[in-house]
Amino acid sequence: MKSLFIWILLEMIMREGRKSSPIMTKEINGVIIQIENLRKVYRISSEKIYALNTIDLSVNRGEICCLLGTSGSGKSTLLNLMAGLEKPTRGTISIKGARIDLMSEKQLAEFRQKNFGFVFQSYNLLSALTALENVAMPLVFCGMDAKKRQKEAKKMLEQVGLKNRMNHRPTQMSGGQQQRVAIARAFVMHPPVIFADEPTGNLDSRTTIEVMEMMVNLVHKNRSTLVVVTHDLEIASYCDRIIHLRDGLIVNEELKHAIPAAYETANSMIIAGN
Amino acid sequence: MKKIDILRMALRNFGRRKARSFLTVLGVVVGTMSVVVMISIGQGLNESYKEQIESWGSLTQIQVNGTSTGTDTGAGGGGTQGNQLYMDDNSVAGLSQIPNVLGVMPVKNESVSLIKGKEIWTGNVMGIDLSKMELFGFKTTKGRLLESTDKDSFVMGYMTAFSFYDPKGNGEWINPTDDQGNPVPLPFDPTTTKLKMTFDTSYGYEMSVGKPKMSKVNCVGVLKMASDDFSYSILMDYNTVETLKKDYEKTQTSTDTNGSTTGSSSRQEKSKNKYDIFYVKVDDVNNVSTVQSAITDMGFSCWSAMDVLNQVKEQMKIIQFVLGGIGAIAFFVAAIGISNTMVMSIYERTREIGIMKVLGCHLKDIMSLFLTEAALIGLLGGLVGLGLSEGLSFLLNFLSSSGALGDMSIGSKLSVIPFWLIICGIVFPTFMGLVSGLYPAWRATRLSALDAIKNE
Ligand SMILES: Nc1ncnc2c1ncn2[C@@H]1O[C@H](COP(=O)(O)OP(=O)(O)OP(=O)(O)O)[C@@H](O)[C@H]1O
Ligand SMILES: [Mg+2]
Repeated sequence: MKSLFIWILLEMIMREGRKSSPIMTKEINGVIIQIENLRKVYRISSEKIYALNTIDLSVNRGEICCLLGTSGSGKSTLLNLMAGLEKPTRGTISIKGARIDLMSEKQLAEFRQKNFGFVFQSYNLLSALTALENVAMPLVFCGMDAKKRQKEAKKMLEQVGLKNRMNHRPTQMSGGQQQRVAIARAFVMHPPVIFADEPTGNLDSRTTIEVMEMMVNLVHKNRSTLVVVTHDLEIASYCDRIIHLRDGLIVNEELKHAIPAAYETANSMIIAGN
Repeated sequence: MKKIDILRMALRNFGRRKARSFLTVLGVVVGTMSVVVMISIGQGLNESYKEQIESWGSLTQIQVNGTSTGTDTGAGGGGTQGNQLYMDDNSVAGLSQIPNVLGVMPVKNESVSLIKGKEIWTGNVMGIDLSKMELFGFKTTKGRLLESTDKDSFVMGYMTAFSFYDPKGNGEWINPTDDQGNPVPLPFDPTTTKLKMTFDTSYGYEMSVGKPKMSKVNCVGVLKMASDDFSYSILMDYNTVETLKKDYEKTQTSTDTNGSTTGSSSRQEKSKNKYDIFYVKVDDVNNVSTVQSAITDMGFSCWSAMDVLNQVKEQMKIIQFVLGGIGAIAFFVAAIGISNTMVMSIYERTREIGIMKVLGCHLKDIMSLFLTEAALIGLLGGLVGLGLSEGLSFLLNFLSSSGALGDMSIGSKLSVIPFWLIICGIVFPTFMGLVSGLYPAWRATRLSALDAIKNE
């Protein structure tokens, strides 16, 4: 209880202070994510675990960027830091010119709401809500009125091909369908950045292709930037750039100048569909 | 987030765990009921006591019984002799001067018997100042009040009319009230019945000697039912009483030397104390205590129904405090129940809260969400509790008035729920819910979004 009052007090003091803090810097040359000298150390009793050790990385606007590596290499950690779900031990992260690492919980919530979409391996849908309600969730948080968000969410569900599943609950849907709901939810606010942590980890290979193509499609359509974590080389093939991680370090960066074949087919499919 | 969405979401969560929500609300219902019913009983007792005390005499009336220094200053002697207080016209004038006093009615009591054929009533005739009758609010149930032109007339107290009996026979006792405490028709009409009065109070009994002087008197009216002194007396003009008394004494000393009149020494005292009692009328209930202390300061001893009421009020405060305390404990337990439910619900919904945070739900919205849910539990519990309390209160009043709870001799309701209690019964549980939800809501905002969404 005591800490509650302290928290309220601090919250009030911080509210004043935050208005003037220099969080915003300028976004340079179409680089939407800029990471410098990033380190994340976990301390378990006296032992230090370097989940990330000196990462420098920049992601361009509109890029589909893949974090590739073996289990325990620090992929998820890097993604979580970028998304502001965790604080770095050292280093800076700027997204759209804003210093994520310096933001308060409250500022982060607002920033996430406007700029980020998330797709997780385990879907993370609210089990009590229908597909439509799940997709409309981010719109509820930003205060859109019921009618409008209903329309937006419907539109989004149609785009992921779940028009006839709108009133189903997550438990009444297959994994692939659930992940498509999650994708619809990630894109419903048309955020500039989408983070996906092993989005196909729970899916079979056919569904994996379906889901990946859908995501890539939507990213291009919305002119979003996608950061996707995977250990699957096939998924990596959908990406413009592949960042290889090992033991918390970037060991290799692969830039694909040529448009990948899979991407081409996905694109042509959309054109054909339209 | 929009307020309507917060409310909608809170309601949905509330409805999701029906059994648990029901049990938590039940806790608040019981808490609210115990507080409301306990306080309502306190209120009911308070009001019925007030009614009872008011029936003993108006609350704005002070009774001056005598001088508090009357007996011993005589021996003290000396220069105080001039300032010696007596129950006389000087004192009446003095008392009338006290601020907020509307009037003073002096009363002289004499013991008399009224004879109605074979039946006799023995009691007090109160010699009063007729001009004050209206001020003191006397009302008749039959006939009228005394007027200055009346000769040898009196007004009869309500209870007096029921107190005639035949000393030689087995008179039948008539209850002056029915089961509900309401007045019943008079056993006879005193205004048309022939009545005689004598100052010999042994008349009609075996020890009575000779034939005492009878005064011819007539009754002009009967007072409304009350339980004050007037009700058990008859009221007459002061001077009339004095004249009749003198007439009686004259015949007594001439015919019978063993007269029942008092000795000469006390008669001297009596001559100085012209009256026995003063009734002082105060303009407002709130001024009674001040006037009363002013009267005491002047050297009189006095009493008012307010004295008793204040005493009872003090006791009622303690009773209400105890009753309220019992209720408050139940209420406190309910508050813990809400807190517990909310904490449990947060554990269950950790993942959900985490997802909401990741999707960019503001902390203050998460806070509002849980506070709203807690307040809803409180509000619902309060409303249901109030409804049941009203029912229980009705039942209690029904049982007590029908005598099922034994004869409680309480005229009014046993349980009274005043309007302020209804408001409190809604506002307080809601507020309590809010306060109980504060800690759980804070916990919810502090949950790590990352921990929550990590693979389960
Ligand atoms: N909360 C934590 N506390 C302590 N150590 C952690 C924590 N989270 C991650 N780590 C450690 O950091 C390292 C990197 O973990 P991370 O989850 O980023 O791996 P990953 O590349 O996503 O692996 P996977 O492919 O299995 O998901 C691991 O060695 C892990 O043990
Ligand atoms: Mg991982």
